[in-house]
Amino acid sequence: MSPELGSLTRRSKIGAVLVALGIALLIVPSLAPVQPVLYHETNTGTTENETMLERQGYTVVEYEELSPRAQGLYRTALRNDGHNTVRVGQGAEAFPYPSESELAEYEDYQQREIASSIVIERPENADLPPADEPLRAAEYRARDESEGGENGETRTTPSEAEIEQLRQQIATYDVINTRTGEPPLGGTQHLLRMAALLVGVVGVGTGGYLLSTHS
Amino acid sequence: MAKKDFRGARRSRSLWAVATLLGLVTALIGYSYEAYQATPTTSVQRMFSQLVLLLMLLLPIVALVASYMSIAGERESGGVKFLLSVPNTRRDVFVGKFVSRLGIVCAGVVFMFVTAAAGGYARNGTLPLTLVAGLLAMTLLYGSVFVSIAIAVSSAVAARSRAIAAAVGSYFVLVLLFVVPGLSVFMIAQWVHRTLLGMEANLDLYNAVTYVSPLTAYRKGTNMFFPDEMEQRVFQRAADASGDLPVYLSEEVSLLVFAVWLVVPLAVGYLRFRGADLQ
Repeated sequence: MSPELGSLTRRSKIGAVLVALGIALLIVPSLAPVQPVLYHETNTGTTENETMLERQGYTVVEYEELSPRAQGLYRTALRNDGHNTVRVGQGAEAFPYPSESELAEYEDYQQREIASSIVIERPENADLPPADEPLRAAEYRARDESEGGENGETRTTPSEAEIEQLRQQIATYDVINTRTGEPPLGGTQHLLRMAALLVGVVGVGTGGYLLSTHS
Repeated sequence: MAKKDFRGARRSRSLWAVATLLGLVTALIGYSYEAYQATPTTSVQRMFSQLVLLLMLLLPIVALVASYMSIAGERESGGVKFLLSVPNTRRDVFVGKFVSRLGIVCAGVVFMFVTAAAGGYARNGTLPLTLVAGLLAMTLLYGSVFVSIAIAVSSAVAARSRAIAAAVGSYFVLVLLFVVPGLSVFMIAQWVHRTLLGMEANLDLYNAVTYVSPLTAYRKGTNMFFPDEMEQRVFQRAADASGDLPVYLSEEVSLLVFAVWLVVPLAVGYLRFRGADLQ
């Protein structure tokens, strides 16, 4: 066999291997789909009290009534900038975990929020990370309430004690949003699959070129 | 003839590089597209509707670039005399070039769809096959139209510079003129009809004028495969318009528009090539 012919054969072999590898890499991510995860997010804030929240349809649960697992998930979320993600099966019974498609059935935004949230009533002086509720809203709300009166006639500046009381009330009721969803696109699971797809495309392209220059 | 040209073209490194690049883009779109709180099927459908928008602008460029020099290049280099010296007629050369370039463009389109589908399926675990097959068929038709136009242009001119100018001009007239806001065929038709001729406004007439473009036919034709809520709004309607569009603006008419754009440029191009002085 002449050296040139040998080189062409080698090129075509490499090309065929690359095409086969590329096709396999295009298929593999479909065979191993990304596993959903359970999201726990405490960033959704509320300034309402228990009565108002229950009237809106939220389930209000005292922190002490939660299972140790649920308490742990809540505390981790608070410590982790309001986010905590765990695998399916590692959630807590007290939390609802609707899927994306289940939530898509709600047309009303608030109904969707309620279906995927519960409100945790934090105990006073508890050894918990600080609540991430909108505490600054207390000042505005106190001013609104004192300026409103019956007919908007009474106008008094709210005292610091009143504002602090409202702050405590806001901090007591913490909304935690829980749902089942795909892991974030930037997560390892997605990045691995994306990389496989892209390498697969390059494999088919390069292998195809090597094969076509041989024949 | 077609086989020889196809073999020659597929050895091009730049062709494979472009195909790979487009495949990477479509695989990335296929995998990373995420519809907000939608079912997996809806998510894949929306991803393909985005792909259609991309191909609407990109595919004409690919088809024109792949074909505009096919015959003009042979004429400029003198290679056409060699092609015709062996027992090949001008028709053989013309048809061979068309079939070969059509094969290349169609292979590229299929590759893009395969990578997008692989990405979409890997992400969502579902693939609406009827939608994908329908869109693929419409996209192949759309690409074929621009190959037909490019081959016609290429056969009608004898120099590279003129072939480039004609290809760029085709893209401007048949694509950009239908998407650039403020300078659209719809507005030109409206201006001629109302201002120049002083007639009553007739939106259906202006829509019909717009429908002669392969781009509009592609947008309208792909609507046949999408669910109602995902269909593109292609034609303008009056604020008080009710009921269906007239028959000549229906989605099925897009197939007729494609057929005309496939046949007429090829016929004109062939007639020009047959009567051209190749000396």
